[in-house]
Amino acid sequence: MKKLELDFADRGVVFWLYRAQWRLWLTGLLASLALLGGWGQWRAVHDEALRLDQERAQLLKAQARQIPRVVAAPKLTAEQFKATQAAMRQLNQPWMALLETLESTRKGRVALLELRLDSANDRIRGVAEAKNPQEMLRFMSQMKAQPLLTSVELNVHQMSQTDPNKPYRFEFSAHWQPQEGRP
Amino acid sequence: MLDLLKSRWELVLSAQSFCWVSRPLWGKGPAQCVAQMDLDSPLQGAERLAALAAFLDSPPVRYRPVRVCLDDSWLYAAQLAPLQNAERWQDVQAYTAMRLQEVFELTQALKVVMAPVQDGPYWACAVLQSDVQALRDLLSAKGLALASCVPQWSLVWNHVAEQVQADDAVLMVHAEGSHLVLVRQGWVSAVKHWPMALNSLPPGRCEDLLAQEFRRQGFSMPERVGWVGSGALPQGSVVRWHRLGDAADVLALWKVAS
Repeated sequence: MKKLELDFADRGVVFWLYRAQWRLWLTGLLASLALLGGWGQWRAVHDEALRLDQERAQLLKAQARQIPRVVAAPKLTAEQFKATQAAMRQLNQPWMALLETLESTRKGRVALLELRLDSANDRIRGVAEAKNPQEMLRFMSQMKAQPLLTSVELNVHQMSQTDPNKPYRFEFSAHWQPQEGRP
Repeated sequence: MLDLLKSRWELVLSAQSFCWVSRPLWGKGPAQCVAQMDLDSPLQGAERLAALAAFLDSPPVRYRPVRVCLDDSWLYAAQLAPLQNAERWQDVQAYTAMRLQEVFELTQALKVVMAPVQDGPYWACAVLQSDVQALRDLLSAKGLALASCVPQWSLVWNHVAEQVQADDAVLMVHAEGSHLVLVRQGWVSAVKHWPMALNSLPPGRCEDLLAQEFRRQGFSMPERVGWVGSGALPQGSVVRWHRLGDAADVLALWKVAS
């Protein structure tokens, strides 16, 4: 025999919930667990998306930091500007071209001891030693023959008494004319 | 909140008493009577509802669904002849309500429950619509919901229904009354209520009453009748009693009401 379904109460939500068997409760429990699991998954994905967004924002910020900024140059006084120009001019001297010119001179028995470049006046000044006066004069004439050197002058010459070989030490100067297009 | 998952609350309404019963939701623990009101004499109609309102004034629980169990003093039950050529359930229901009003000479609207069969008499039970409405209102005024409203005997019947054969008779006995349920072809054909415990009658009297009822229903007295209840039934000359399970937890419904 089946059970009797004798109930005078209205068939509403309360009625059916009250009569719910353990299967319905179990189904409800499983559905709740599934919903809870789904919600957990959604939260995990949401958190992951949030984390990725934050990482992306940090990367963008770091990238923006790495882009070189246009830095305003500090204002210089007239003296500082002049000194800076002089230093830059000194650094930009055409040492290689000058040395190549001197190397191409047949120095013979002449030793080049010192060489200075006065960039403000485009003049070079040097100190050298020669075995004898003839060698000194021949060096000077060869200097004059160089196309980039003009106004070659022998400024000072003397015989060294302390050296047993008695060399001639002399100072010379010349006007340096750098080639067009060369630094 | 935890109590919601542990117990169900019943309001057991009998002829002379009202009772709040807490029944464990899981397992088969005994029901517990939490609060009870005994009336000096059986009340009816508005007087009974007024007494019930006073009883429900301080309920032991709130915001819970409640099952109301009604004894036979609230119910109108009878065996009815079927409506010929009935096609719709609503027609059968309206016919049943009308027939019960005729049988019990009532003018109020009835709330009907029934177990109709295709051909042949069927058993129907009803309660006054106004009583159900009053119960719902009284409960909802205290934050309670009328989730179920059933005859008391049907709870005991449902407890042993699986042990009952398709054509069988079952006697349910408790301290204040007895119910004889006749089953034909798997349907409840008739329910007879006596306002006394049949096993408290002198030997032979119980069997006489049963034989009378079987005759009235047009059935011969069976040799074997199932029974459920407390105590024991006297052995008759014709009937052999067959006990249907213990049902102690369900019978507590009547015990606490006695």
